[in-house]
Amino acid sequence: MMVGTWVDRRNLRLECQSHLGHLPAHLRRRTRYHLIGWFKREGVAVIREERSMSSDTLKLDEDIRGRKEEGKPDEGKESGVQRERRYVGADRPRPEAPDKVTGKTLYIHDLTRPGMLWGKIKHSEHAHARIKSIDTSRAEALDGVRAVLTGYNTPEVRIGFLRDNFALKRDKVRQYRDEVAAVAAISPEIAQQAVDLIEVEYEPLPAVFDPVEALEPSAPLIHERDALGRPREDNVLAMECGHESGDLAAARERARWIAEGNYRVPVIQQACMGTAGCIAEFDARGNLTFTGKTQIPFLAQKDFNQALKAMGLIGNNARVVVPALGGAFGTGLDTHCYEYITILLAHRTGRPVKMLMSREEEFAYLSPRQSARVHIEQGIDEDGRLTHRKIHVLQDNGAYASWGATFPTVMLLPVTSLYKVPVVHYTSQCVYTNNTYCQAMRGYGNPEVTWAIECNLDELAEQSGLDALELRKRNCNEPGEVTPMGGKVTSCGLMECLEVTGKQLAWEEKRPASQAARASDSVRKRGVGLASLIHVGGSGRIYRSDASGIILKVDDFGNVNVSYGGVEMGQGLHAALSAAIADGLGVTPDKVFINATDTATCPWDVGTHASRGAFMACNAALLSIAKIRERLLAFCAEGFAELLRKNIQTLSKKDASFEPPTIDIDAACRPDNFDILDNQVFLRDQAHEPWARVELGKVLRAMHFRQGGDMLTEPAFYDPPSDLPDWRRGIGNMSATYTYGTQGVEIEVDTETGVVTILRMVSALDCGTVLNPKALQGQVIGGIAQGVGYALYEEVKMQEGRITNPSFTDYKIPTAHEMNFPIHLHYADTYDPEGPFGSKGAGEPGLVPTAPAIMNAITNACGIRIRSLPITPEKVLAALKQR
Amino acid sequence: MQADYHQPDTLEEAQALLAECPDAVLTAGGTDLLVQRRASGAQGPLISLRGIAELRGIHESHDLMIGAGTTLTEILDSARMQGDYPALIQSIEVLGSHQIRNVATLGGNLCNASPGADTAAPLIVYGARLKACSAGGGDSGACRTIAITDFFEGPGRTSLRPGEILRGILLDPPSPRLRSGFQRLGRIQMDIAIASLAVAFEWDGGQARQVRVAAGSVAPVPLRLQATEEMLEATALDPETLNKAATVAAAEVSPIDDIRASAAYRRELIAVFLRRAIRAALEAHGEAGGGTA
Ligand SMILES: Cc1cc2nc3c(=O)[nH]c(=O)nc-3n(C[C@H](O)[C@H](O)[C@H](O)COP(=O)(O)OP(=O)(O)OC[C@H]3O[C@@H](n4cnc5c(N)ncnc54)[C@H](O)[C@@H]3O)c2cc1C
Repeated sequence: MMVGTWVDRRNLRLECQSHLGHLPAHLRRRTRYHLIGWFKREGVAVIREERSMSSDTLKLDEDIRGRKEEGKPDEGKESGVQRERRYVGADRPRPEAPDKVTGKTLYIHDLTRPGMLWGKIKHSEHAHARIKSIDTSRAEALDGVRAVLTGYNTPEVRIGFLRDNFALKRDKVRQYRDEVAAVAAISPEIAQQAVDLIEVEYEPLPAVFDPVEALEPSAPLIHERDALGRPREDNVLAMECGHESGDLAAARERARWIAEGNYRVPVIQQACMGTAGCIAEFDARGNLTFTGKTQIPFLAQKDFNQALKAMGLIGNNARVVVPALGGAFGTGLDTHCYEYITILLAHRTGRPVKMLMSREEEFAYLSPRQSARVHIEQGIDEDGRLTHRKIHVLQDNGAYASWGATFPTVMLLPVTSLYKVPVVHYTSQCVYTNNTYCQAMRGYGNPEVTWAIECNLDELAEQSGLDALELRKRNCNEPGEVTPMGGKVTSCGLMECLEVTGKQLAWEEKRPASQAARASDSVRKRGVGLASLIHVGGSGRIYRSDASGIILKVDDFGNVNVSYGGVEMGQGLHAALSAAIADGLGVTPDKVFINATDTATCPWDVGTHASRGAFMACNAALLSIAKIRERLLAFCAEGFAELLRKNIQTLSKKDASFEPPTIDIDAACRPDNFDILDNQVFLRDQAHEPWARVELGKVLRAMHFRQGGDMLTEPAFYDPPSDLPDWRRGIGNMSATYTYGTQGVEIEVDTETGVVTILRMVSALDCGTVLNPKALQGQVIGGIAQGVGYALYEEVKMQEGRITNPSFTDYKIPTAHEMNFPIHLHYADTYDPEGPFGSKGAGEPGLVPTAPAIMNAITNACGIRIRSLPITPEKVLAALKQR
Repeated sequence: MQADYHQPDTLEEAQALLAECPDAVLTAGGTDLLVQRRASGAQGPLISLRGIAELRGIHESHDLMIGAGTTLTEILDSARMQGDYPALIQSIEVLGSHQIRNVATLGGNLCNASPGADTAAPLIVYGARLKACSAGGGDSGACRTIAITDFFEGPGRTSLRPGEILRGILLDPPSPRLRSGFQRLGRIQMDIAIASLAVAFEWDGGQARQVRVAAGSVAPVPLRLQATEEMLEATALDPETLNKAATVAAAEVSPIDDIRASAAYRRELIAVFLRRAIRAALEAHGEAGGGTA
């Protein structure tokens, strides 16, 4: 036996007693979690664990070496970035927080323009009808009205990725909220009054509200023609997304147990705290400036430029500016009719026009999250290994296509890649109905289908008698795996997430105990349940370019001005980005200033979605930083010695006891002897000498104010290593890396009222290095709150296409009271080779597995299974009675 | 939202104003009224009761009088109310949120006459009387007392006459044998109740007397359940009786299907609430009904 000391990648010292003399090379950079696992197998006893450094001064060098050893060197990104991590990984307040909490932040609601008019929209009163006539004369006659627009007195502006929607409707309406006319007036009240004076005569048409009925040949056609004017035969959207790998018949043969079920999720609202709105204004040359709520400024620019063209403004440009956003959750992923209408009104009146949604308008007229019906079949063999997964998804799209229609493309990932499943058959269909049309929301298809997969897995466990946690462990994803869709698993901490969740829930005791107590006559029954997730962690390539550009400008005062085209919408992007820049460059975060997102000043970015914000922005920033450091240090090689001499002169004058250095200063100014830290450039081998350091701004000024001077402004463009999948075949590595996680929950069911109370939750997330624990905590708990809402409370109710609960009085989301239970947060000890500082995307995962975890716990408590969300007390009680 | 706004200092001034402009609307905390006006766009003048000291506070003589303008938080904070009227306190504890309770008044909750007004069922079982006054009255002249069961006439409709202001809510001092309790459920905590129920009875040598049961959100008005009361009267509140009474209660209410729940589910809740409210009322005194452990 001998005693050895091993230090893990996060500087945790492990003192161990072992018969082995050394740690095998392949475990060197592993984390405590991996080490302990290996120790256990090898019979190594850990005597003591201690952190050798405070956790917020982890070595950046380690990150860099880590990447190189992973065989993914990226010289441009890494060269010169070799110092301590001080801000990445530390709990740091968000840079925008002081303005937010003191009410100084300007949202769209606060913005105004000289001479600004207000826009309001007249919406359809029918789900499906021909427009026979529109009488706007009384509205036009109203004092204070400046313009009244309809589809008949404006150019046709087609919108949506299938170009099946129109800013203002002509001929027919296809949903209750359809825009038939709009007004600009000197006040919102007058605009509303004018809207109320518009009279529209309709001829009602037969309508269809059920997606299954909409598939029938006899169903009324929602769109008679496609965007190219060709007649349409049915209501199915022209989109294909599926996957087929392996021999299904053989897999079914092999399966010892098969579980099958139909699962449903409802339409829900994103319910952002900040409602939507925009201001459109034209300059005298016909160029548009659009300020509004969007997550995709550059795709919006493209959309609006297309609209300008349709309006006859050929060659003109739309500049998109994003104000502070009070949440977006997917509502800003597309451009909307109200935005185009505001543009049309501004153009017609020649004045800035603002449109702002009230809460009730947002509920009634903005696109919510898509509903889905999922048919699933999964099988396991004798050993509990998944034999196959067969899924068909039917989505009720509503009347027009927005990005919600492409949920099946994101579903592809969990369908093919959540747990190891060799045979996958996946088909999807999205169908037009006369319901409100739907759009993106956090998780984008993933929670919808994970609800089915994870509930169905528990049904398999129940059937086979295999423990539900054990079943998941046996099929757990692993690093190095290539999933059926071609997803390349780089880092993967799912096993750790499963184990930690089980342990925190006391699974081994509680799960069987609750099951045994199902038959007891106690009124309140408890249960535990869990569910996992996979999500894109390195952006998701769903567009021709999945890149992000950034420009870093270091000014004469050592400030770093950042122009990035992604959007801070409350998720903490700026906190992550400023910490990454601070650590990467060697400045303090207060020197980092992130500009407003503006298509005129920021380089292109595909949009802030797919949990990609921090991953993309920080990676792009690191590329730019590498160039800045290179140029700065190159300048230092020629100019630093002179600055040091001045330093020495000043110090000698100030301080009589100062002893000038005796070393050869010119020789010390070797290119590899410079570093930047705390806003100072210094000589590495003289790091503790006051004369050997110069304030960054001073170096910048020396570089600038000289003959042939220069300044440090560096653009960078990061395009992650991923493929645009072939959607029809469902093949392609859509993300540079994948995020995993498990959520566990203990609940109590009141079997007399059907009320489900959450007692506590566990969230174990594998998102690589945690960039900012506080910010991540907000993301995870916020996600869980939305997941709890999805599970237990939320549903946009519709009667013949009309939304019947369009307000917070009638549409309930969880409040602090419902979230008043302990949540144990755990982050898997993983490091992603492609992620900035080893991190992976974490924006959306919080809500993905919450609902199935809750349902699985309810089943554990009382043996019922509800397959449609939300799990209301009424459904629980009805299921209990049927038992 | 724009309107003329008056804030008189005395009840008399308020009554005079009301007589002057009959289309004016009274507002206390405004937590019902302003939400309704925002939806309806109504712009008539407002008379605020917030500055009227006479309308506020809990006054004890023989009876207890709660000024109509007393905020729900003030009632929650009153030791007297906590000790003597637990069903009312329980109903206020779950009403809205801290912020709402800090401005919302008891009078407002009643005068708004929502079928789901949470304080109504407890006040019915405590046999509250409502004092209403009109112009020229003050504390004497044009004041009258209305039994709370005569107060609610339909959703949003009360028996207050034009020009009348609710002055206060009168409660009998409770006997030491009074047992009472309240049950409710919303979809989330901050929600109008799906259903609520209050009970009160004298626990007299193991027998329940003067049983009163009332329920909310299960009829056009907060409803007293007399058939249920009769089932329970002079019984030992044993499980069998409770079950029978629960069935009667479920049949006695007349709920509707709406966004929050179905009528059938509401009936089930009423049955559960009846049993639970009675048990909890006894348990609060370390007691149990007959035949239970
Ligand atoms: C977010 C939210 C949550 C809520 N939750 C609940 C809940 O859980 N349970 C519940 O029961 N209610 C709830 N409410 C409704 C409301 O808060 C209560 O009914 C409250 O008690 C009303 O009191 P107020 O003083 O605000 O009344 P106001 O809105 O000022 O007045 C209500 C009505 O009573 C009339 N009125 C008021 N005082 C008098 C008087 N002295 N004489 C004659 N007429 C008068 C007014 O003219 C008006 O018609 C909620 C409201 C909100 C906004």
